[in-house]
Amino acid sequence: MEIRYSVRDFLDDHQAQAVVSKLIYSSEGIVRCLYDSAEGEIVAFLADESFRSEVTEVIAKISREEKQSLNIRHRIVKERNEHAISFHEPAASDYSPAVRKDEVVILYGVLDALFVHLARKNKARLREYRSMISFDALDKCRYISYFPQHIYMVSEFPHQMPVLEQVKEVRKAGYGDLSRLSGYALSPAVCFHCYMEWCGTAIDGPVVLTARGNCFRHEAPWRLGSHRLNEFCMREIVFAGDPHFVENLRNQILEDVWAIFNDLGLPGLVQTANDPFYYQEDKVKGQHQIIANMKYELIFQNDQTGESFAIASFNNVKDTLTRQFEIRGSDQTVVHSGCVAFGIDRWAYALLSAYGSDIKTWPLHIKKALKLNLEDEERIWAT
Amino acid sequence: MGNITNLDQHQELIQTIKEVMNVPPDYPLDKEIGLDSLNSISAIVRLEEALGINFKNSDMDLRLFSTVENIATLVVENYLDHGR
Repeated sequence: MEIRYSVRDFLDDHQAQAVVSKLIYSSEGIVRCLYDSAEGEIVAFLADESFRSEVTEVIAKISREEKQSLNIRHRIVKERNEHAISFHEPAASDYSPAVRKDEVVILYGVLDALFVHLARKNKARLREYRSMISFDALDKCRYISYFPQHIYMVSEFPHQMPVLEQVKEVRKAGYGDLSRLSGYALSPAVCFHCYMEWCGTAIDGPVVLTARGNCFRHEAPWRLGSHRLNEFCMREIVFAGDPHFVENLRNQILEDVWAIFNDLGLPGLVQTANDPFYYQEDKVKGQHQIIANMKYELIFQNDQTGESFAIASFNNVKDTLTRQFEIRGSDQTVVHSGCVAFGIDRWAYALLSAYGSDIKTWPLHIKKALKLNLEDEERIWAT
Repeated sequence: MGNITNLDQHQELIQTIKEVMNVPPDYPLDKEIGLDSLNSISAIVRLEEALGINFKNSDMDLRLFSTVENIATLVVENYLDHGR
């Protein structure tokens, strides 16, 4: 069963897509939704008929909100077509969110090494952080109030004998009633740990950190798979300093990453971007990100399937986070900061889509660009 | 404001921009206005309404709105018909 909600003559294609982007997270009665541009209709497939009126009202509300917003689109700043690629669908056995195997593990390693090299070239210090992050840290950057649709909170059973004795009896269905929030969430990004490390301090000159971590975002179940995961591996380069340093480093890394993307023969583009602020009243912040060039995304495009997704982002957040975390320079003025984030799973998925699941057969120049040498591994695997 | 044919009309444009952007009459034309995430979008909307234009998406770049002079240049070169 489905709802077809006409927005023709009311919203343009870009606005209708924006409605769908929010609708995804706005009712659990939806099992899939899309925009049918030919008909000018937003289409929502329902879990069952009882959700019809709820979902219709949600679509109407989001559509009205979108109509009232200034219609600002992303601007493409770099573009690269690659018509020679014959795309593949990575086999589930080779690329699975649950388990990565052999050559794919190696691929993750060489991709990460590439990004670490880029970070070290820019004098980054190495860091490792844990997967949980406190609500206090997330409240400082208002993550939960801006992006409630994405947060995974960690719960726990109280250390009380009566409660723990019930846990065994109630099994899965009763866990929710017996548990409480722990005060921690699963980290949605690596960079917040860096800001916590710098929190309340004065930095002496520009600072650059790099860290890799598993990040977690609550995603609609029907969207999970291929490039969209609820747990993913992210390498970030995080930097703070005076405004010129931050802007220049962000832009320099963008150029370097674009060169890597070209060396790897991948098709795609760089465009201005915004974070997915959930609430209408915060949408203006996302629009400001676009017009102020605060965020760019590198988008991989699979021309054959129409699939496209961001594999890296380049952010100059100015003083927005450093002000919240009270990070100052030696002159006591609030510094600026930025970060570059690489979704390693998505880089791997893009390469597997472009060149196939059998990494050994990839073109030599691609393996060279990745510094990918499988000979040692092949010898080990053969024995 | 359909076109700019003389100095008076250019002055009128500058005056309108200053009013919309909430900067004093004697504010230097080349000085940063300092739009931030709280006021940038509303300022652009007010400019569109005051000047009777719609900025193209390709012009939605804050660098083009950084000073009164930049805004005037953007408007004159791309949105007014210069009396033709």
